Amino acid sequence: MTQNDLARMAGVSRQTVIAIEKGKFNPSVKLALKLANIFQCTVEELFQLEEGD
Amino acid sequence: VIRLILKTVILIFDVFVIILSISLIRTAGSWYSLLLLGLFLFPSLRMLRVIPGFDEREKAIDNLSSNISLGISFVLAIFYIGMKYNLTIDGAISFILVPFVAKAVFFSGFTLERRQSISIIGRSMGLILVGFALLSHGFSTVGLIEMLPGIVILICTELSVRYRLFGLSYLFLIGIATWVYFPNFERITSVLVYSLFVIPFSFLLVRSLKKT
Repeated sequence: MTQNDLARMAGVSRQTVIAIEKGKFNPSVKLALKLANIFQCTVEELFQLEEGD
Repeated sequence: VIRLILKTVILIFDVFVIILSISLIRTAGSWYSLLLLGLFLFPSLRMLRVIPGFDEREKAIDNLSSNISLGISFVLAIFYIGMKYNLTIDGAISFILVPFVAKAVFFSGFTLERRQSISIIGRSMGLILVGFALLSHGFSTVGLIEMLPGIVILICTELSVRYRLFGLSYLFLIGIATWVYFPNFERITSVLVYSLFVIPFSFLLVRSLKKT
């Protein structure tokens, strides 16, 4: 799946997908749930707290 | 239901302002009317779903760039008061135009990736200057001379997109703008033009030198 595909499926821009991947933008609960739904996994599997968070 | 009513009221207001702006183009200052049009056209088109709406990151950046523009408005206001300018139509327009341009620069700069943001901001600036020179003087010697700053900006843009260190050329352009406009700061239009050059140049300088 390309970043473009993911962006289209989640209803966001490709730049937003890139920013989330790089950890520069924290998605809302709604977007996190959408992404988890697309990847068919749980939000906890997709996003983890890092040290210092 | 309340959200729907609110959206409808905002939309009616936006459409009213757009109609007012179009009607004012002929009677009042066309610059000011076009500005109003630009300011309200895109949010209305977004609300009507003619163009795609912002996602949550873009909304956050929109808020951030609005706050930065508000800060610039405050700085301008303090500067205008400090310099004791007589508020002319040019001054009033500049007071709206500068934050508006700043918002557009910061929004596109923060939303897009390095290459895209430099291209869009730099090319827009260069092409606007070349366009103005062409419209004012056509393909004459004076026109070609007036086109030079625009052409220089376009060259700097193309080079800084490819080579990061060429971003330093914007520092040179900021220097030239300061050298040309700073001695004439007693005129409000000089402050306006200086701000319109230096805000995008400063942003392009930082954006070009940064890796991502």
